[in-house]
Amino acid sequence: MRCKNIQVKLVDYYENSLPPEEKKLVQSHLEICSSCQEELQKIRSTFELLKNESSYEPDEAYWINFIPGVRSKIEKGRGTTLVPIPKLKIIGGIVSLALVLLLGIFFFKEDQKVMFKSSEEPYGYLLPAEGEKIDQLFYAEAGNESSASKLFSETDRNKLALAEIELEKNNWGKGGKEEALKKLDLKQLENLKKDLEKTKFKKEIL
Amino acid sequence: MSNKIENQKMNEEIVRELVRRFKHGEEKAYNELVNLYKQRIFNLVLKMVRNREDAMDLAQEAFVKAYHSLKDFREEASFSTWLYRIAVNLCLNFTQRDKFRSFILLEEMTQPVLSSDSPLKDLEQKELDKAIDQAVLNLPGKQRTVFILRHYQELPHSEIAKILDKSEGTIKANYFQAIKKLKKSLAGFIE
Repeated sequence: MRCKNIQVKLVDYYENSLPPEEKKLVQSHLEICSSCQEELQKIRSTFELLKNESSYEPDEAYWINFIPGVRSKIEKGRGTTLVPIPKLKIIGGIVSLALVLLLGIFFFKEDQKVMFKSSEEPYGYLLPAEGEKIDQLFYAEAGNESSASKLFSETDRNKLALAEIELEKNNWGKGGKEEALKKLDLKQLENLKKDLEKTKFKKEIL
Repeated sequence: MSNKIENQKMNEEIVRELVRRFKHGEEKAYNELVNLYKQRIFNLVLKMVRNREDAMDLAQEAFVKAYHSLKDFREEASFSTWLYRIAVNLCLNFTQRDKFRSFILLEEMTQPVLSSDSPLKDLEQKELDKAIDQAVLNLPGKQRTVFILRHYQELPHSEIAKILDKSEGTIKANYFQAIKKLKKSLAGFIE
């Protein structure tokens, strides 16, 4: 028999729990194999060492209070209170904080979108100056071009560009802003100015 | 070992009767069951978690869990097998859940040895206890359980197989692996 096959039986051999035939096989191998003898010696020493481990016996009070303790836990329904509470609190705190942050980011982004991208009236409250691009308005709102890019997708931007053309046509007519202004008398111009002031105010409070 | 098994068999009938009485509503019968097994369960739990305070709490907890499940206990296994299974699972969950803490506590948990005339001997004993605690806690859950049930509780492989619902061959293999690892971990203490 090979050493490998013998060595897996050495613990049982040491504990004297091998069937007689196997025990004989191991014994005869051990007589001729110093390596397996050494291995058996190490196993024996390990068990001897384990026997030297200190023992512990709780004091009498623990045993006297054992059943009352069990009964009290049964009554209090404390069957599942062994999870270390401080750890749970820490984990709970971290999860809550992460949730709050995520929700905060989510609502902030949603809010930004509402502020800058109203689908029905994308910029109706603010008449653009002639030649002024919608994007520029939004850049101004968002602070810079890269912020605006982050807020609006390519599709959104295309939609806005179309809406801009539509608005130009509706507000200034075919001739554009200057032609339109020429047609207005002073009173109409005053009214337009007032409207613009109102819409600017509306924009600011929004 | 054989005496223990015989005693266990003698107790089996008494235990079955106590279980029957409890199932019929006699609460006091459960106290008797606790009295019969509290010492064994405490020792098992202590060796599993290697911390006195946790062991004192978990040993009671095992009986609380058993109390809640006893009415559904179908007696396919013996009461002790069933109870050991509850205690083992409780400890495995606990050490898995609280592994980090267990290792931190290892520094503090080294049991005070009764002061002898030789402080050096005390120190050596303390170091040995600590090394054994660490070596046992480092074993994978199944190997640790098999080792403890076999070495400290002195249960036969067949009984351990029932408790863990594994074949005897698997249990023997786990035990062998556990001893192999302990031998390696404790090599520094072996001359």
